Amino acid sequence: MIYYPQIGTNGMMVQLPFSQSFSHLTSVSELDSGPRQSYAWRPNPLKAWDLTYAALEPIEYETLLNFFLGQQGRYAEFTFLDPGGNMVPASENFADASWEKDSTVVGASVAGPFSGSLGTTITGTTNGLLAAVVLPSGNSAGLWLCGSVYVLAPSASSLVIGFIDSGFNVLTSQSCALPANQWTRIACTTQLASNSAIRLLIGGFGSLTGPLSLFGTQVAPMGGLGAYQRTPGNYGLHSKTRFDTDLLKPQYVGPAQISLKLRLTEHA
Amino acid sequence: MSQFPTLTSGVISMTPTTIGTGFSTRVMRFCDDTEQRWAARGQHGVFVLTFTDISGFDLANLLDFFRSAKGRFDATWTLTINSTTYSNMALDSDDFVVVEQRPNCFSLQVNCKQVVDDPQVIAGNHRQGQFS
Repeated sequence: MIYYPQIGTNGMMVQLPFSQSFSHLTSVSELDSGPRQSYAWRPNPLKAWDLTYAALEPIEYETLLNFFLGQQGRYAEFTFLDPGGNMVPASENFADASWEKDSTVVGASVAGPFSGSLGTTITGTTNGLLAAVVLPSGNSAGLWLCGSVYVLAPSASSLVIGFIDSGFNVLTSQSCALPANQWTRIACTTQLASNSAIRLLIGGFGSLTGPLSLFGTQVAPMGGLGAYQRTPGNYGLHSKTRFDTDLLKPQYVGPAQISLKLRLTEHA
Repeated sequence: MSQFPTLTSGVISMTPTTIGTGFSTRVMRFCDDTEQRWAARGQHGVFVLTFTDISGFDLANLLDFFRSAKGRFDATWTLTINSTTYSNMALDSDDFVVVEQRPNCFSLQVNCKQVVDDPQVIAGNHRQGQFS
């Protein structure tokens, strides 16, 4: 699996303004007599991204140039880890089959940190943990990831968040302090050194032994927290992405400063 | 029948918001310069909803709505602005375009319209300064 490159320190992949679009495909007939008929061709929208790089350093541009050459423009497909998406398959539904639950019980819904009853009570015993596959194909050594989750604890405590590989080896972990009765977003950032499949870990190390409320799990391909994005609506792993251009047209806007615009499209 | 979502702040759109009125008149012009006109649609509402610098959570709610409507496909949802409910609404586009101008601040516009005649759109919503 070939990934769109992270070009800067701490996993920088895109610059602002960052534009993304979700596209359905509908055939609509609005008859002159008034009735409207419509047919939806796509069960789920396809994404596209307009990447604007206002000021790249030459080494960053060369990374993109080499990747563009490798893909031969629009010809080849690659995987785009969307910094505007979320690589956790089901970010709020912990009963989903994508969550591996070890010594934990998924309980009732509770009020979330923003609105609605979108939080979930999770009760752990002895050494409870949750894990979700975020990079199923692996081959991602060198990539930066940031995992996060909102947690509400009934009393002051701590919870571990980290990443594990397909063999349950802990790649990195962080024990995060939780204040009592206050939604807190905890996070763990890492630069991967493994080419194994990667899973997000919540709990373990004896940190999930009672009831907690969780909401909004997220893994973003960058060196820090991004705005929370819900899945499955905005899943962040797009394995069928291509460049939407055969031309790479950098502008040299200053000493060692290169401006570049790229459009990526998802084709399936 | 689904409802267009409200932001966590309680408003349904930000300024500038358009609450417009439209008709749909068909015109056929013939070779001898005569023409025939007929009203395919009566009065209906047309709307442009603006969202500036909203949070990722609000964006997720709007995106969920777009996905459930499947773009232009669904024409049965409702939009309530200042206590007036507009029914038989449809999105104008199959594209949902979001721009992140500043970190974690998302902006977009949603164009939509009624697909069934509804004269209530002239009721005076344009005098309101806030759209909730």
